[in-house]
Amino acid sequence: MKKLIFAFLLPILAAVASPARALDVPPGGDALFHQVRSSKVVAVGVLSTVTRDKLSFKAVQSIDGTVPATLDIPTDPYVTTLRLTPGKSYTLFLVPQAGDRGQPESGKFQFAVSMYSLVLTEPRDVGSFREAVALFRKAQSDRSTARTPLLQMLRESKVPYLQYSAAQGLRKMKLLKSEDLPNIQSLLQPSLDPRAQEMLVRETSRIGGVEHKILEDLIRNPQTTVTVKAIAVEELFRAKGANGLKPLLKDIDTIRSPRLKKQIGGLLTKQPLPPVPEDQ
Amino acid sequence: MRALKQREIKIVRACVLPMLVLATMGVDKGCVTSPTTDTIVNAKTQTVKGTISEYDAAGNLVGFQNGKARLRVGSGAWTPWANTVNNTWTITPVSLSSGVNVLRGETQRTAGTTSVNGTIADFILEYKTDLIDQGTQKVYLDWSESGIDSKIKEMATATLDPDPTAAQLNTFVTNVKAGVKDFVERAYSGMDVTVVSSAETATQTVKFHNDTGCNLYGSSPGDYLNKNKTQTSNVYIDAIRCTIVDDLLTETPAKATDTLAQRVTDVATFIGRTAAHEVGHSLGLTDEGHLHGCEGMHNCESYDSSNPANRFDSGHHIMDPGPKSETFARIGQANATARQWQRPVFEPYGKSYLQLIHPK
Repeated sequence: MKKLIFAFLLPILAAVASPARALDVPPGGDALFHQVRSSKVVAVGVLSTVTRDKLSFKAVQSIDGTVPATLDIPTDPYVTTLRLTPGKSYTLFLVPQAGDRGQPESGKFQFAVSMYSLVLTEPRDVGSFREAVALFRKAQSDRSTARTPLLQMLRESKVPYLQYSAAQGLRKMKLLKSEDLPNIQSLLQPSLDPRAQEMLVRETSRIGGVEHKILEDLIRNPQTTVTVKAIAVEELFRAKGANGLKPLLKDIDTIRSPRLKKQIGGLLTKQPLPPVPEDQ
Repeated sequence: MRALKQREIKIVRACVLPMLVLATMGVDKGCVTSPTTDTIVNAKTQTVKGTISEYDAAGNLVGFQNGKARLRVGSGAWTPWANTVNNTWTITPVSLSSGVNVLRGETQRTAGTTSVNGTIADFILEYKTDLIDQGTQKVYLDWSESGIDSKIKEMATATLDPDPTAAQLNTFVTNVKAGVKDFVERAYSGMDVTVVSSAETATQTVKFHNDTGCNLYGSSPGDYLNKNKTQTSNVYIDAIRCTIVDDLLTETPAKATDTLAQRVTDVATFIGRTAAHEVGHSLGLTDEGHLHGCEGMHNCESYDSSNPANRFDSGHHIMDPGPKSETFARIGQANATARQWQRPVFEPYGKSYLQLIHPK
């Protein structure tokens, strides 16, 4: 019991005690394209303990590369800000830990991109992660191999992180073509991970634009994030001008979003301001 | 009919335009002009000012009207009605609770024999008492590490056609560094944060590195309330080079035929924004426990979804999280396809925090 309490309390204490830290990474830097590119080894393990200096994982399975069955990964001030849960599984993107002489130490690893290199993973999804990592690893040498499997991953995966990674990978590697538009349109459902939606809507403008009704549906749906709505508004305005946005005004539920109001107001009023009556 | 005065144009652009979304049925809309909404204030009692805008049945702005307005804080009691004077209503005192306050309001006026009602949309004022004046904060941009210049030059040669000459590239580097300084100074204008030319006491240093790698633009210690004025943040030029080389011409409006001067602006804005972002962290933005940050002390997209706030903007706001900050936003463009300058800035909330701990 004491051990259990200790295992849960320590992360909280560590987070409170350690100074806050922050990182800036590229767009989509937390998705598989960047994580696979920056790592030498990918594994999944069960977090057993968190101390001030390290995270310990057990039941470690290799996804890409060779790892021991247990891992101790040194933390850094950024990782300690994460709310990690002992007992949960995480996919880990790792690089060999440098020793005192700057050479990699055998069997010792560190996170490739700090706090962005741990992804909470359900045990049932480990196989999917393994396939996805293999796909991105292969794409490092030949991006054209990734197009069909990424579209399939986007279509079939139920894992939000993998949906996002598939969409981000398609965008980053410039793999989408105009003939993919019907596919993308069918994928732009509210059930799709919001970040995947965002990637797809942004990318469709590059390859020919998505059907207006799909953009309108996204904007009207209360489940759609403000960011995706904002991108959809921009695309709709680009395609149809002010007439494309006016019908939406009554249905937009984002009255609370100053960002969206400002955006739509700005798009609709790209004209000289009307004069004020003389008697005012 | 006269043209709108400068002050009126400013009010319309800042406040009225957003209301246009809702103004399709010939209703009035109230607008708050002071204090800036979605900001931190350090006085419990506020004086709130605003205007009443009339729209016709087609949703066109007719102009500002006289009438009266009232507010309520959360589910509290309404303030008494306040009449406008010269088209401006002033409500005082408006008493806030500690923390986030969501206010809303109503307007009324008489048009002939008809009473016209309007609404003032929800807005936030956050009352905090812990933001103490920390005096001057100096910032030093440290370019001393060797090898950086060649990385900056590559950002030009890889994205411009024809290649610049050697002399042009040397000038390019000089101008980029000057542009970075200028960006940071502008980002912190209105605050007592000063870029200095050497590392002095009580100076935040931004160290630019030549480390090889494409996946980390910057790192910084966070320090809510900026209690430690001598810290070092890091910006990794090679990672920025990777993105510029790989994605500038495909994910932003930049073209290989751009001028060298345009590319200076693009690159200086990217690097300057990153530097300003890291300095922002070392000054305390966007602390997760105190300033509603998330995703590693950044502006929180999910906060905007559940509050009348505008913290996150896909990279147009300086403290937006890295994975969600688009490359076109980082170079100061409004979108990915057509040139339209949009300088990355601190959003009003973050700016109000900085102005309270480093008032000019």
